[in-house]
Amino acid sequence: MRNELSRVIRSFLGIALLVAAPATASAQGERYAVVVQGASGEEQYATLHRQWVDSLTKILVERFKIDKTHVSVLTEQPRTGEERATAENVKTVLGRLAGQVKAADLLFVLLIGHGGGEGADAKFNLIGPDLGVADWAALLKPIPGRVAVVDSTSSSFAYLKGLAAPGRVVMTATNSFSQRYHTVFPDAFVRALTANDADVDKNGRISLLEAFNHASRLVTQHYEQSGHLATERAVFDDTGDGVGRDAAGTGPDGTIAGLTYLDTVAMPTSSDPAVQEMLGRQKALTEQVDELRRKRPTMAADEFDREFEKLIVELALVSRDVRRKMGG
Amino acid sequence: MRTSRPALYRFSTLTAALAIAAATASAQGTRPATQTLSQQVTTALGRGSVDEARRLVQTASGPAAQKELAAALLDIFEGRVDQARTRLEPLASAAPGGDAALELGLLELSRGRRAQARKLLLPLSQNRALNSTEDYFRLARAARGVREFQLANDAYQRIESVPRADIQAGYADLFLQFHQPGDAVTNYRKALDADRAWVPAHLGLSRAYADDEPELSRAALDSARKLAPNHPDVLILTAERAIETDDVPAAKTALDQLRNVKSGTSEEAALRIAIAYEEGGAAAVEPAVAASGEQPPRTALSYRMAGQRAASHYRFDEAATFARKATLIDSEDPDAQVDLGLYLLRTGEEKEARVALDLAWSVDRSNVVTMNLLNMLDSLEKFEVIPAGDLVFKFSKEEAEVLKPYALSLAADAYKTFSTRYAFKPAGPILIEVFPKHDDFAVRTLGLPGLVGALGACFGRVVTMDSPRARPPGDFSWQATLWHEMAHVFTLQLSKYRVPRWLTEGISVFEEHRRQPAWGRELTLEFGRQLARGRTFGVKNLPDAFKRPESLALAYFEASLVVEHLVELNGDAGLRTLLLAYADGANDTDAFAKAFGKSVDTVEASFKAFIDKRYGGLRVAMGDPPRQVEPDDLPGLTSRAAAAPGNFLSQLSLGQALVKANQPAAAKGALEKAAQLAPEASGDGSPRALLASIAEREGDSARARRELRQLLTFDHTNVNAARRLSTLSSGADAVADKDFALRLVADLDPFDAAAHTLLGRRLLEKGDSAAALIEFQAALAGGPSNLAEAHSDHAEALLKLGRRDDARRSALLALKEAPTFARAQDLLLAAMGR
Repeated sequence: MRNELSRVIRSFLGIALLVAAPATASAQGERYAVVVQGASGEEQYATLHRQWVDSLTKILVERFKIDKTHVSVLTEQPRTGEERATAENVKTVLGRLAGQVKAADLLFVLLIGHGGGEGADAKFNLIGPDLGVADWAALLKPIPGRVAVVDSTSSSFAYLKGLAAPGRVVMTATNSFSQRYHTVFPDAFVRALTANDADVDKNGRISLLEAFNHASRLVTQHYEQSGHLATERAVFDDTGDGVGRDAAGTGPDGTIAGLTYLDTVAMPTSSDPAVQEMLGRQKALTEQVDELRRKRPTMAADEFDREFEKLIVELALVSRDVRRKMGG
Repeated sequence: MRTSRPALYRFSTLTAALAIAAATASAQGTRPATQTLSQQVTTALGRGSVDEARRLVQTASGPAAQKELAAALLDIFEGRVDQARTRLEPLASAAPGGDAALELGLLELSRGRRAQARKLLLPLSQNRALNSTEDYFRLARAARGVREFQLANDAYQRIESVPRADIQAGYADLFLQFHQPGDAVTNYRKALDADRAWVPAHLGLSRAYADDEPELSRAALDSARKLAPNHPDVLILTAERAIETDDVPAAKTALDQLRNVKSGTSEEAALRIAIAYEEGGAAAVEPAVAASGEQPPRTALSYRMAGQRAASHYRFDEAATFARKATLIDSEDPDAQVDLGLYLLRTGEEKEARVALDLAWSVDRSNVVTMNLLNMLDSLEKFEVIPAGDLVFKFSKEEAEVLKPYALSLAADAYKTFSTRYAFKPAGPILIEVFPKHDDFAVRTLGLPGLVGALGACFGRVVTMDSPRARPPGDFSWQATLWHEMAHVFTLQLSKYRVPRWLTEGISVFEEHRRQPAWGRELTLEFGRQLARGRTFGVKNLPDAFKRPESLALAYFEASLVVEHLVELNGDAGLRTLLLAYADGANDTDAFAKAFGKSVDTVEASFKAFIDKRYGGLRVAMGDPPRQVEPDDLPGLTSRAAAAPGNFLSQLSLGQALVKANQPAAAKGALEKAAQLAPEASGDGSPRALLASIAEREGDSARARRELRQLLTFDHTNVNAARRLSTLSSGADAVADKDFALRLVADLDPFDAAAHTLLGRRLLEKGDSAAALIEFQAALAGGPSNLAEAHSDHAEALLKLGRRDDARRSALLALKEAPTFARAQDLLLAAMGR
C-alpha cells in the first residue's frame, strides 16, 4: 500500500514536468460515460447485470454528478432513455461521442456481461453480432479526450492489450485466457466506487486506481470466504504498453489511474482574507508534506519521522482552523 | 527442506549403471516352463502348502546344491534358522552372486545380524550382469535388503510386466514400505491375477487397505486365512489385528499356533511383549523380554512394538522410553529412530525429536515420514513462540498477530475452567501448535499428510490443530477445537492416559457444549434420525463404535450425551472419580461402580431414559416420511405433509419444493412447522435459512434477522449466515443482532479485518475501549482495506484508554498513509493535547 502511494506521489512530479497527456488526467473537463450491458444468456445473470447497471448509472448521475445526457446506457432490455446493446448502437454512440468529447474531457466505458474467445477473436457478447477487440479499439481511437475502459466480463483479458493506448486506462476482470467463468468483479467495482474504505488517501474522492484496488480486494475476499478457488484476477494498464498489473503487483502502471476520478471537486476558496490565507497555508503545508514523503526513501527513518511529525502537526492545526472557520 | 524425495515412481528413474546393463539385457521373459526345485518350493510356500514343499524337497533328485537350497527355504519358513544357515553358508561361499547368498543375507537381516547380512547382500546389489528376470528379481530383493530402494524400484520396473506372484508381491511390499498403499494394492492385485492362492499378496492387501478400507482389509486377511490358516505370516497378522482390537486371547491363540509352525521368530517375541504391555502396562515389558529367551532382544522390534502399544494408549513418555531402548538394541534401525522422533514430538520434546529424526534420515533417506517430520520441524522453527503461563503457543508468523489475542485468552480460560472443574493441574508446559496448512498439522500429528476429518489433536502435553485459515471460513470453529483439545489435556493426564477413548472424547465434546451451547451439538439432527431408526449405540457399544470409521462422528456425539448424563447423575465430582478410577487401572465395571455406585448396565438403562426424555420428540419428528414422494411432485408432497404434520422431512421437503417452485408465501407454513419440529436444523437448505431468505425477498428485514438469529443459535459455524445477518442489521433497532453477527464472524474468520473493524467500532460506541483495541489490533494484523482508517481506529481506542503517546504514534501512522485525513489529524492533536 505504501509503495503504491509513494509511486502515485512521485508521479505528480513527473506529470508536472511533462506537461503532456498525463497532466490532463487531473484537468476538469466534461465527463461522459457509456455503460453497456451485453447479452446475459440466463435469467439469473440478466437480473444481476441489470442491478449492476442500475447501481452504476445512479452513482454516475446522482453521486458523481455527471450530466445525465452524458451517460449513454445500452442494455439487453432497454428502458426509457436507454438503447439496445447491439453492435450498431454501440457504433452509433461511440461515433457520436467522437465528435462530442474534447481533449480535456473524460470518457468512462464499462462493459458488463459475458465475454468469450481469445486474442483477436475475443468478443464482448452483444445482442446479435458481437464486436471484436479490434472493432472496439477502432471505435475508441477517434475520441480525443481521456478514455478509461473497464471490461468486467469473463475472457476480458484480450481487451487489455487490444485497447491499450497512451494516456488511456484499461481495466479487465481477468488476466488470462483461461479465466472464462462469470465474474464478480463488476459488482465489486461498482461497490468500490462509493466505498469509504476504498479512499485510501482519505482525500474524500475515489480514483479509478483506488476503486480497482478495492474491487480486487473484494473479489479475493469473495472467493476466500466462499472457499472456492478464484477464477478471476483483475488487471489494469495505464501506460499504454498493454501489460497488466494486478492490485498486489508493482510496476509503472498506476499514475494515470491514480489521478483519474469520475467526480469533480471544487478547490475551496473564501472571501474572508484570513481564511483564504489559512487555505494558502494549508496548501503549502500539504505540498511540503508531499515533498517530504517523496524524499523518504533517501532519508534516515528517524530524520523522516521527526520532519514529518513537525509538518503534519502544523498541517493538522491549520486544517482544523480551516474546518472551524468554514464549518467543515 | 529435504530435496531428495523418497517416493517410488513407476516411470523410469533408472540409475545410469542399471540403464547400461538394461540395454543389453533380455529381462522380460517369464518364468521358464520348467521351474527349478527352489522355485517350486517357493511357489508351494507362497501358497501356504508346506506339505507340498516338504514333498518336493524329500523327493527331489538332481544337483545337491539345488536340493540344499530348497531345503533351506523350507527351514526358513518353519523357523529352523541354524539348519538353514548351515545349508546356505557353503552354497553362498561357492556362489556369492547366487540365490543361496541372497536367502542367507535376508535371513541374517531378519535375525538382526546386520553386518553379516550386508556382507552377503551388497555384492548382489552391485551386480550389473543382468540377463534374466531372475537376475533383476535377485537384484531388487538384495537392493531392498541394503536399503538401496531406488535401485530396487528400478530393478522391479524392469520386470514389472512379468506375471509372477512373487515378483508382483515383492514390488508391492516395497510400495507399502514407502507409504504408497495405492501403488501397493495395484501390484498385490497383479500378484493375485498371476496366482489367486498367493498368500503374501492377500496379507499385503490387508495391510495396504488397513487405514482407508477396513472392510477390504478384513476380507483380505480372511482370504489368506482360508488359503493357509497356519501360514506364519497369516498368524502374525492375525495376532497384530487382535491386539489392535483389544482381543488379547485371540492374539495369544494366534501366537501359540505360530510357535507350533515356526518357533523363535522375532515377530512372535515382539507381539508377546506387546500383549504383556496390554495386560500389565510398562512394568510388564521387561519380564516379558526376559521370558522371550532373548535378553537383550535380537532386533529392535520387541521394544518398538512395546512403544507402539504405549503410543496407541497415548502414553507417549513410555512409548519414547521403549523406542529409545529399541535404538540402543539396533542403532542402525531407522524405524526405531523414527518411532522415537515421533513420540518425542508428541511429548513436546522437539529438539530431541529432531536428533532422532536426523539420525533416521542419515541411515535411511527413503522414509517419507522422516522427511515429512524433518521438513515440518524446519517450518516450525520459523513459527513465533509465545510462552503464556502454563501454556506455550506456536503460531506461524503470518497469523500470530491476529490469533494471539483470542487464542491465548481462550486457552487460558480453558485451563482455568478445567483446573477448577477437575481439581487437577496437568504437567506442563502445554504446547499448543496452530498450523495454517492442514497437511502440516497432519504431518505434525501422524507424520503423513491427509487426516482429512481431523481438526485438532491432543497428546497429553501437546495440542496440534488447524488454524482458521487451514480450511475455508465456516468449515469449523477453531475456538471449539481448541477448547475440545484443552479438555483432553486434563482427562488424559488426570487418568494417567488410561481413560477409554469414548470417555475422553465424550468429555471433550460435552465441555465444548458447556462452553457454548451450540458447540458439540452439530449432529443433533443426525442423532435424531439414527434414534428413530434404532441405530444409536448406548453406553456399552460406544467403545466399538469408536473403532469403526463410519460410525465415529455419531459416536463422538453420543459419547458426549453419555457424559452429560453421567454429570447429571453424580456431578463433576463423579466424572473426576471415574477418571481417577481409570488412573488406578480399574476396568469399566469397577470404574463405574466407584464413580457412581452403579453397574454399567444400570447406567445404560438410566441413559436410555435420559435420551427418551431429551430426544423423544426429535426421534418422532426425524422418522422416515410415511411414503416416498418425488421432490418435484408438489401435490404429493402437500398431501404427505398434511398426513404427517409431525414429520420433519415431510414438512421440510414440501417447503423446499414450494420455494423452488417460486411460491415462497406458500412455503412458509411448512417451513415454520419444520423449524418447530427440529430447531437444530442447519445449513442453507434448513427451514430457518429458507425462511430468512423468503423474508428478505419480501423486504421483511426484521423477520429475516429473527430467522437468521435462530438459525445461528444452532448453526454456529455458518459464517455466511452471520455475514448476512450483519448486513441486514443496519438500523438502530438491530444493534443487538449486529453485535451478535459481527462477533460470530470475527470468531469464525479472525482474518476478516472488516469484521474486526466494525466490531471494534461498535465496542468503542459502547464505551468498551479495551475490547475495541483488541479488535482494532486484529484488524491491523489481518490487513485492513484502509490503513489510514485502521490506524485511526487504533489511535482512538488508545486515546480513550489514556495511552496518549501510543495514540500519537498510531495517528502518525494513519497520516503517513493519508496526510490530509481530518480524523487522523484531530486524533493526533488530541493525543498531543493541542
